[in-house]
Amino acid sequence: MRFEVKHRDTAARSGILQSNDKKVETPNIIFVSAPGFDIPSAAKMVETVLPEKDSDALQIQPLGSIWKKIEKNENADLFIPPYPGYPASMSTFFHKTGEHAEGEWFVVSGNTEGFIPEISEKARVVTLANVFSLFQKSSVFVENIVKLREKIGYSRLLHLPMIATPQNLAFLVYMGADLVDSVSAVTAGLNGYLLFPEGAYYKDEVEKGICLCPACNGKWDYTSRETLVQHNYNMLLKELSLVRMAIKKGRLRELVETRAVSSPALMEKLRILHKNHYSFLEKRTPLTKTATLIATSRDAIYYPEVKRFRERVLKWYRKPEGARVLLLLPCSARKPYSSSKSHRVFRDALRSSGNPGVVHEVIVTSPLGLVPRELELVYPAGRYDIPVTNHWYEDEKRMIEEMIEGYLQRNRYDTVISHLPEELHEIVKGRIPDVVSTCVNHPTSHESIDKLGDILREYVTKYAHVGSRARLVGVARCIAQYQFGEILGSRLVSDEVSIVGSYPSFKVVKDGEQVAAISRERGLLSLTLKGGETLVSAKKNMVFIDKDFQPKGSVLSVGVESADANIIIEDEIVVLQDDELYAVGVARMNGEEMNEMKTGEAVRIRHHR
Amino acid sequence: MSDIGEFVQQIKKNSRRKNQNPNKPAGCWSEDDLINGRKTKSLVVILRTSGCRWSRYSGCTMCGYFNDSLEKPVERGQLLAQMRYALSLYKNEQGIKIFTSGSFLDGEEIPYDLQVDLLKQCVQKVGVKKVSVESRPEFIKKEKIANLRDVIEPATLEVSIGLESADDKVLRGAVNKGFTFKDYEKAVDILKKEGVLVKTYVLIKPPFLSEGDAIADSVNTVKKIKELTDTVSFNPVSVHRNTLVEYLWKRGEYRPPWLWSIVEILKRSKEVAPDLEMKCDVTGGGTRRGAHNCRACDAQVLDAIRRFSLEQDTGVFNGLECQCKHTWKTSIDLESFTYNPLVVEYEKGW
Repeated sequence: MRFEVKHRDTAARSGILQSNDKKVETPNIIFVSAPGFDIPSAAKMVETVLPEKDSDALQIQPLGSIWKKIEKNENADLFIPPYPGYPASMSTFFHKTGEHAEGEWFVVSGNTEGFIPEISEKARVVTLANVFSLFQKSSVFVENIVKLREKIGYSRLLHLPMIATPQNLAFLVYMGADLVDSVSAVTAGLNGYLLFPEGAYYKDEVEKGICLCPACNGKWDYTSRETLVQHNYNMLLKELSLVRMAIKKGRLRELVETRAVSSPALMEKLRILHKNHYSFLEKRTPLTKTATLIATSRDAIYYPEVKRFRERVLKWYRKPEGARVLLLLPCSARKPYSSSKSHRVFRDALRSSGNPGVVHEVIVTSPLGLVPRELELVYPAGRYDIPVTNHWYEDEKRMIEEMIEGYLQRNRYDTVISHLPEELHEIVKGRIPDVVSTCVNHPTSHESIDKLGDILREYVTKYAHVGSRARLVGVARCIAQYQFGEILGSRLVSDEVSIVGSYPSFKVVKDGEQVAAISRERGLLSLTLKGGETLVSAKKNMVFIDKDFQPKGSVLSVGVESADANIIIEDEIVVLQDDELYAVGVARMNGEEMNEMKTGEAVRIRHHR
Repeated sequence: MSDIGEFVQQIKKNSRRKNQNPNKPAGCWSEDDLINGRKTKSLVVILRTSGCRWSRYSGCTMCGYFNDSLEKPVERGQLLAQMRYALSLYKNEQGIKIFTSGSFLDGEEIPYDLQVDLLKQCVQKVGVKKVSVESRPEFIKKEKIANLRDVIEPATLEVSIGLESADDKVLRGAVNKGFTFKDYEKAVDILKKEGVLVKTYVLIKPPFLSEGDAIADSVNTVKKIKELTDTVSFNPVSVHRNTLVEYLWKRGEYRPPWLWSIVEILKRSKEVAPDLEMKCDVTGGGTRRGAHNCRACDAQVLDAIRRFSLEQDTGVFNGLECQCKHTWKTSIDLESFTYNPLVVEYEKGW
């Protein structure tokens, strides 16, 4: 069995599973062969007690239970070991017993106490038995899946039987499931239910003509159980296609949220996952993405990339040295903020103040809290969309308050000016009582802009002039701090560097040699070999490769000898060979995965020796 | 937690015994029965004793009969009084079955001389042709059995053993029976040699086994014991209070057997052993805690099972149909893929 991950989206992945010369895409639905219910022609994986000869589909044979084992049939491509025999609510003792493995397939006896046995080295697919029982209790389910996914790592596939529906499929995959099955589609059909991504409807409630899937269209004969089951199959397959596309586009969470909105049981699992398992998600979340972050949910403040942004701003970021006056600004719909009409007006006022270099612009927004101007290109600040209502929920208020408090502890200013609309200003004022307000009615009103100009002039003239070239160095340094931490970031973009080009695409040059480039698209520093040397000196983001390889385009994970486990996707990587810098590039999988996986691209090389 | 017995004991701790009158039996009634292949009546007496010894320090996963037992050992006079009371209800039944929620032959539960006296009381009633008692195999000893047999002559003695399953894996891992199939075989050997009739209880759907596994296990058990036993009595699990089965049932991880499964087992068993006498008393049949189908067909199917026990003819099952039969069949097919107990609810069905 061979498995290669092609795309990743947080804990979800899509890839190719190969066994006996049969290739199937993942995530996938294993269609169970229930007599009387035809398996759809699109089914690529079939679970059956009677495998056929020469089937195109990958045939998987379940081997019964420990109480009654089923003989292996040689037509099958793969076998699932016998059910371990004890339900989830039995104590740990019972889940330790029994055999677990059959070739490369392993079964974990799921249980409410969260015990997971040692998983054999050989195992490639892991089935969580009793998952239907666990699924009934949201926190137990989420804890178990996260724990299991962590234990089985990246190279093994996770199989969750019996629970998949069109509504929860996206969520199951979002949590890390690679394989699910069609059992629920059958049982729902037998119970008289039609499944849709939005939920289930009893057959008598469904009006003719609502569903145009091949099983329903034209007939809408819901007295037939076969129709109901086939409809449910169609919905599962359609949702599977959507899930796969969403993973490729990095937008799976949006799909998950859409599905969860109409299911409290699902929404509660999603919330528990976001609130309680930040590090599980964060290390699987890329540092930057091309997809826009959609933050329509109140839970957006807990999204891993959002929380990471706030944490890095609070812990790794340091305001530019010359900045003495803090100017708090509202966000804009257009990103980066500085390209928006409102921010152009604010910046005109700032420029005409005479000494803009001493003023530090920080944007107050949700769900990111505070976005220093230098980081406006950085994901997700450079690419997010929120509904704007001028109403702030308590969670958001508290988040902004905590952010302001944490930020001002590390970054001190002589003066704080708030050019924020009233609702937002009130939140800020609670933390900074002596804040100066410049906003009258609306931030872009004439009175507001005039007042902003007047107040800025009043404060900035006290300070010595700070040049604009120095500001771009500041931008580069702040981004470097966000990417590599404060000390290393400051070392990489030191006072000796100069800037070539103009915002938002420019280069950092040191001793006449380029160190890094910044682009609007990536919003991060892309290092040259010279820049990479600084990372090597700090032993950061290092990937050691086999000395027999001379990779040009990319480093494959099979060639990785060891990698910094803290690397996340889109991190800048220094590739070392014999302890010498060989190349710089970008991480395509995280460090843990590089260390474990034997397939797939680990690093995309930008420059090599 | 070191074994299944500890789990069972832990659940039992929550049980509260009702006030029980040690001078009256726990139950007593007359029921249809088959003796020497003829339809007749038997008097059933359930004596209240200190109960099953095995249940006190370990216990079977489905058995809640300890709920009927006394916490203190019963006195001689009390037991005799219970028997007197029961026999006062005697109405010329040809058989008397004495149950104790334990082992009649366990000397700790009923001292041996008292066992003799109780049996003597039974055969004082003219017309009694057969007396049945129950026991775990470890209490079946050659000399004592021979003596008890002589005491009741010319009536026949029958000893019933709750084997449950002939599969040691099921006995140990699912029932926690505390003995093996070999122990049963030894006990049967003694009984046969002494010319005592053997009745064997076969459990239908122990916990943890799927519906399909359970059907296979029961039929397989019949295959293994058909030469050993005179009668097979199938006991479909019903959910007793304070048992491991109840623990699972409350958590949606156990469903009592379908009546269709019982029908299937009876049909297949009769094919396997056409001459063997088979009966099945479905305790709590048609209720949530007992074996049931979909509610609509329960009474009809239960009646057929009752008739089968008396007529020994699987023809009584011909023509039994209900929509839920398809559900039952499909659920058995699906169980192979669920990797989780598949419980079809009583109220909803499919």
